[in-house]
Amino acid sequence: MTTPHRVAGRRVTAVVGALVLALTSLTSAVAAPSAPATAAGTTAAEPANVAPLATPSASYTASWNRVAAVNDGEGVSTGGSHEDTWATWGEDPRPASQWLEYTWEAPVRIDRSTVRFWSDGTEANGDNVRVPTSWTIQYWDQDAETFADLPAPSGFPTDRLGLNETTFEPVTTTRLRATFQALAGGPDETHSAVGVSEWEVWGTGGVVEPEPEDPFGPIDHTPVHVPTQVGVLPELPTQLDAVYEDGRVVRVPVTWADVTADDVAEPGSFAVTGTSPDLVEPLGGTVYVRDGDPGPVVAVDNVAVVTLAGTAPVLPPAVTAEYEDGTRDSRIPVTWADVDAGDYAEAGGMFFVDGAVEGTDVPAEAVVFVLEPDTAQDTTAPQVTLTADPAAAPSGWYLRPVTVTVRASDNRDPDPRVEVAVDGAEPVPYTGPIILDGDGTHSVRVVATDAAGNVGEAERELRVDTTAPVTTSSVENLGSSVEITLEATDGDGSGVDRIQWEGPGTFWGTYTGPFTRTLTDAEQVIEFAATDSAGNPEERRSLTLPAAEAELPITAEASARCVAGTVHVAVRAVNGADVPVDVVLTTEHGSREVTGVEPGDSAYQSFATRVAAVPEGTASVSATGTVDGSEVTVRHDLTVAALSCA
Amino acid sequence: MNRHTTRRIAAAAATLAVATVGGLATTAMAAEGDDTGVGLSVTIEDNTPGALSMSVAPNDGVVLAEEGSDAEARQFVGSLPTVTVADTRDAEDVPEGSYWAVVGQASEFTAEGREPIGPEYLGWAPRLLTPSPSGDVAAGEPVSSVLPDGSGGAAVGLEGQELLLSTWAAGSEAGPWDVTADLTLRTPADVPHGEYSSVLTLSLFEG
Repeated sequence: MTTPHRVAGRRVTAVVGALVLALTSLTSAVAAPSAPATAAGTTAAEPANVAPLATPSASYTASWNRVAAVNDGEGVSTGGSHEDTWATWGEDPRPASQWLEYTWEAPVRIDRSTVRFWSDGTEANGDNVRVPTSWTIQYWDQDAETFADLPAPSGFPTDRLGLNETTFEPVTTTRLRATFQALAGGPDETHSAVGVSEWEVWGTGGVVEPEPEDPFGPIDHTPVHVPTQVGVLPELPTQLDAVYEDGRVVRVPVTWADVTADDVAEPGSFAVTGTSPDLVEPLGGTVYVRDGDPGPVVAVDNVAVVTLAGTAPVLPPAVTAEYEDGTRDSRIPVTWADVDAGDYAEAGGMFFVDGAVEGTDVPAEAVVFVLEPDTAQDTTAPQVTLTADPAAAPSGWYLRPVTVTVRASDNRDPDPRVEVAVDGAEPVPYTGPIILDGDGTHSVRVVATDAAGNVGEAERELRVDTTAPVTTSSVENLGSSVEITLEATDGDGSGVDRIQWEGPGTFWGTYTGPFTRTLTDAEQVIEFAATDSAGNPEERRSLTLPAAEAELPITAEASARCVAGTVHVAVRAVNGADVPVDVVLTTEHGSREVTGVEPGDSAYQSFATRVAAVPEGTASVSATGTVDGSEVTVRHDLTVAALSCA
Repeated sequence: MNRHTTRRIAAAAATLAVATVGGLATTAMAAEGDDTGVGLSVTIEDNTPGALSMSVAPNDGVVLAEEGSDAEARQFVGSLPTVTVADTRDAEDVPEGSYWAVVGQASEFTAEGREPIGPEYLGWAPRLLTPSPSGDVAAGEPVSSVLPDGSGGAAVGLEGQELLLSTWAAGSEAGPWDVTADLTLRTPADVPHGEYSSVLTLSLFEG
C-alpha cells in the first residue's frame, strides 16, 4: 500500500499473491515504526549514572586487573586491590595510547562524565601505571557510523587523586570511548601504562523497554503524511481510523510526540510517533517540510481495503498524494466510484475501485480484499496489556509514582469487559489508569472477558520506592580523633543498598562500619549519603569535625557563685598551649578581653548579675593564638548552672 | 560559711560651688572637719601567718576634683587608696573550691543643708596594680554612675556591693595584690553646690 502508483491504470495481476503480500506489508508497516525512542506521554527520567548499564571493554586489560571494575560503583586512586582497577601495564611493549569503552544495549542521552584514574606514582619513567598526559572522550555517531568528538566538552582534567569531570552538550548514543595518551619517559622514551578505577557517565536511558505487542490490534491505520512549510509546526491529526483484520474500522484518538521548531527548521522529512489510549502499539507517521510550492501531484498511493463477504467495503475519504518535490500529503479528498454488491458477495477474491482525487487528474485506486466471515465458535481469549509509566529504574523499582494503563483487545469483541484487582483487593471494573504511589510492592491483576465468555488474564507486580533513604551520623570523641558511625533507614522502600562517604583525602567510598578520623589543623567536612536498592540517592549530608584541639589546648570553666548575697558568674580559661593567647570571656552579664595570656596562665573574670538568683545560663571562651605561623582560634561553649544566693 | 572583713574609708566630695583650683584643699579640710570620724584610716593587718586579709593604705580620705563636667552633668574624679589583699594560708588550709572577693558600697553624699547625692551617682573602674602571676585574680568590671560616664560599665553606681577584686579559686596564689579604682562622681548638672561627703565600705568575702 505504500508503493506510489506512478503510472495511471496499472493493475496488479497476481491476485492471490497480492492478498498475501498486502496483508504482510500492512502488518509490518504498523509493527515497525521508525520513530524517536520517547513516545508521547512518557515522563523523562531523572538523570542517573548509566555506566552500570553498559558493558565495558578496552584496548587492553592486564590479566590481574578487571575492566568491569570501571563501572562497579567504587573507585580508588592508588593502592587497593588489582581487581578494583582497569590498567594496562601487562602489554609489551606499552603503546602510546589506550582506550576504554562503554556499550549500551539501548541508547543513552548523556551530558556528564567523571573519571577516577588509578596510578602507582607520578615519575615520568616510561613504566608503571601513570595518569595519562591527555585524554579525550568520543561518542558513537550512529548516522555517520564513526566515533565523533563530544560537543562542547568542558575539558579533560588529569587530577591524579580526585575526580575528573567533563560536562558536554547532551548526546544520544550507544557507545562512549575514552582514549588516553600515556605518559612517556625513561631512558628509551617508553610509555607508562594507564589505569582507571571508576568511570561514571550521567544521563538517562540505557534501559531496554520491551515493545508492547497486541495480536488483536489493528492491521493498519489511516496513513499519516503531513506536509508543512519550513519554520511551521505541522498540524498532526488528533484521531485516526484503525483498521482491523475483519474489516472493522474504529476511530481512535491519538497523541503525537512533540515536534520542535528545530525539526522543521530545514526542508526534508522525519518520522513521528503517536500513541492512542485505545491501542497498545504505537502509531507512525511522517512529516514533510516543504520549501515553498510543492509543485503538481505526480502520484497517488493506492489503497488496500479488507471486507467480509456480503459486507460493503469502507473506503477511506482521503488518499495520499505525492508531489513533484517529493513531499506527500495523506489528507487529499477522494471520490470513489460506486461499488457493485456483486463484487464482494463471494469471499476469497479482490476487486478494484477507481477514485477521483481532488485537485489532480492522477486517479486513485483501491484494492478490496473480500474475506470469509469467521463464523467458527470464538475460543480465543482477549489479550490484556499492562503498561507502566514512567519506566522502572535499572533496579526494576519505580522511583516515581507509577501510572498503570490497562488495555484489552480481542479477536472479535471490540470492547471486552475488564476488571482490575489492585493489591489483592476485590476486582472492580476498569475505568482508567491506576496510579500507584505508595512505597512497597504492588500487584495489579486484570481479567478481561469477551462476549463469548473467553477470559484473558494478566498480572503484574510493580515495586515502588519513591523515597530516598535517610542517613544519620554519630560522632564519638576519642580525644585527638573521633569515631564516626553512620546508619541509614529506607522506610517501606527497597532497603538501604549502601552508604557512601568521603572526607578530606578520601574518595566517595562505601561505608563498611564505624571509622576513625584523626583531627587535623583544619576543620574537616565529612559528606555522606545512602542509596537504596531501588536506586534512590539521598542528598548528600555532611558533618564538620572541629580542628584538633591539641593546637590550642585551652581549658575553660564557668560557675555561678554568691558574693555578698548576689550571684556572680565567674569564667576562667587556662592556656595549655605553648604560645600566648588572647582570650575573650563572654557571659550573659558582660564580657572581658584578656590579651597576652602566657602559656600556663589563665584569664579570669567575675561578672556581677546584681540579682540573688539566676537560672541556668551560657558562657563562652574564645582564645586566639598563632600556631606554626597561622592564627588559630578555639571556642568553648559553657553551661553555667543555676544558683540562688537567697 | 561566708566570712567577711569590712574596711571603711571616707570619700569626701569636692566642693560643688563655683570651684577654683585653690578651693580643693579647703574643701578637704572642711570635709574632715565637718564629719568627725570619717577620713579614718584603719590598718588592721591580719599578721598572723596563714590568713586571708585586706588592708587599705593610710589615707586622709579622698577628695574628688571636678573634671569632665559638661552641659549634661557635673563630674568629679579621684582615686581609691590602694587596697591590699593577701592570702598567706597554707594550701591545705584552703577549703577545696573556695574563693574570695572584695566588694565596695558607697553611702549617700551628704552636705549641710543640702539634699543628699545618692551613691548611684558614684562609679568606679577597679585596676589591679600588682599583676596576678597566674591570671586567677582579677579586678572587677567597671561600674558607671547612673548618668553614664563613658566607661561602658553597668550604669548602676555603687549603691549595691560591687566587685573590686576577686579570685577564681582561693589558694592558687598567695598575693599580696594591690588594687585601686578610679572613682567618678557624675551628678546632674543642676546639683546644688556644697561640701558633700560619703563613706565607701569595702568588704572581703570568702565563699
